[in-house]
Amino acid sequence: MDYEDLISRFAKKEAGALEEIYDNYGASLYGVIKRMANDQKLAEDILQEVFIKIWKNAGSFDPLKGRLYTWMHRIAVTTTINYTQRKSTRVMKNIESDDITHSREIQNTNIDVIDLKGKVQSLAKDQMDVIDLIYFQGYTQQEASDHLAIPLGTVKTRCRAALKALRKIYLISLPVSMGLEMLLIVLLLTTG
Amino acid sequence: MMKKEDIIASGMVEDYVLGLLSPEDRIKMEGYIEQYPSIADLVQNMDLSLEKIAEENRIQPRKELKDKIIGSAGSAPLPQKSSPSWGYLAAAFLAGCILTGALWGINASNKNRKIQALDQAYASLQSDCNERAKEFASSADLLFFLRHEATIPVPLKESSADLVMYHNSVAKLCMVHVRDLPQITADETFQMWADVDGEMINMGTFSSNEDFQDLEYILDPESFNVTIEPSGGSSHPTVSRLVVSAPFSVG
Repeated sequence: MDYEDLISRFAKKEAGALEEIYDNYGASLYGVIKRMANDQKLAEDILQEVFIKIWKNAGSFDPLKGRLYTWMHRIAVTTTINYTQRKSTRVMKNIESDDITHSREIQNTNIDVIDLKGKVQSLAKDQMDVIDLIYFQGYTQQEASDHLAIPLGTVKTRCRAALKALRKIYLISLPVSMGLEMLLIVLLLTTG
Repeated sequence: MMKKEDIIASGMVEDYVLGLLSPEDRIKMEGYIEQYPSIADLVQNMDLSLEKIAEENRIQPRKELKDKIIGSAGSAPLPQKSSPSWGYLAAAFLAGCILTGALWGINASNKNRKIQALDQAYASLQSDCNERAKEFASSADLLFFLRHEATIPVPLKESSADLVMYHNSVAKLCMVHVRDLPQITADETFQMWADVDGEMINMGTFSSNEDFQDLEYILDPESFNVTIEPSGGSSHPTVSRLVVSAPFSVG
């Protein structure tokens, strides 16, 4: 994928650009939505609405202010929060409960149901938890602080440390020759 | 207008990429991105890391959803691509046959006992594998960083101190490798400072107990300086307790 070419065609709403975006980023966005919504049918409806918004607002994406995926990720998170809050409001109205709890408690009962995969697992557990809540569940830092029962300052520190560690993790991709070299080093260390 | 070092130190960049800033702060941050190319680079860098996590945690939606979504969003689709190759289908079929055969064999001979034993062995192997993978990833990350073309090593050496600072302007990361440091008391710590335009910028405290330790990234430092400070660190360096110092220049 030629990223520069894609965002240029997307900005002009050229034919095929949205399909290419769907092919390249659809599954990533769906992964986030599915984790938040915890319901396949609902997640599919939200994904559809997200792509409608992405296409409709193509002109407002500014590549100088961040990457296309980050922009779409924010749309996906906001849309999912709106959807799931609407849904939980409906549920609460249906049961006619006077005991209105925080919508987030009802919305996100799926924490830790789908474990994060990939290199993010090499983060320290406490850093992975805040990234999970904030990046994959759409929590604010205050909500993450309440959920994890830790001070807000600690959440901020962990966010910063996690992003720093992630930059190091994804600094460069692993060339095959270097991978073999590393494997030899690890084997030597573990056997000797 | 804030200085770029202060913007980075404030954590605004992290909050920006995670979408956590208020609308007012967001506008401010977008102004900084336009003003400072290095901040814009840092944002792109963090964005890319998060994009890769999302990619590694992607879930493929149902195939038939694509046409519905592309159609409803109003974009003209590209010409149809070819369907999945027969090779994949044959491989999937073969894998299915092997799996079925293997399961049937286990069922035929005392299946419960064997499955339990296999489960335990698998869980143990999985746990061991996860631990090894973490260790491997951690060592690999460090090696990548040290060998990266933008990582510049800066030796800091005196009679009682031997350290190497590593500075990477692409990843915006700094790390110190501690080899030797003088003895300090329990209520003291070592602190690294970067000299930027005559001002000493705090890069954080570190100990003599760990080999490699992360420090705050500082743009365009002229030198790195280590001092001994009270435990927890100081806001200004105690010059009389300077341990070691070395100039820094790119290239």
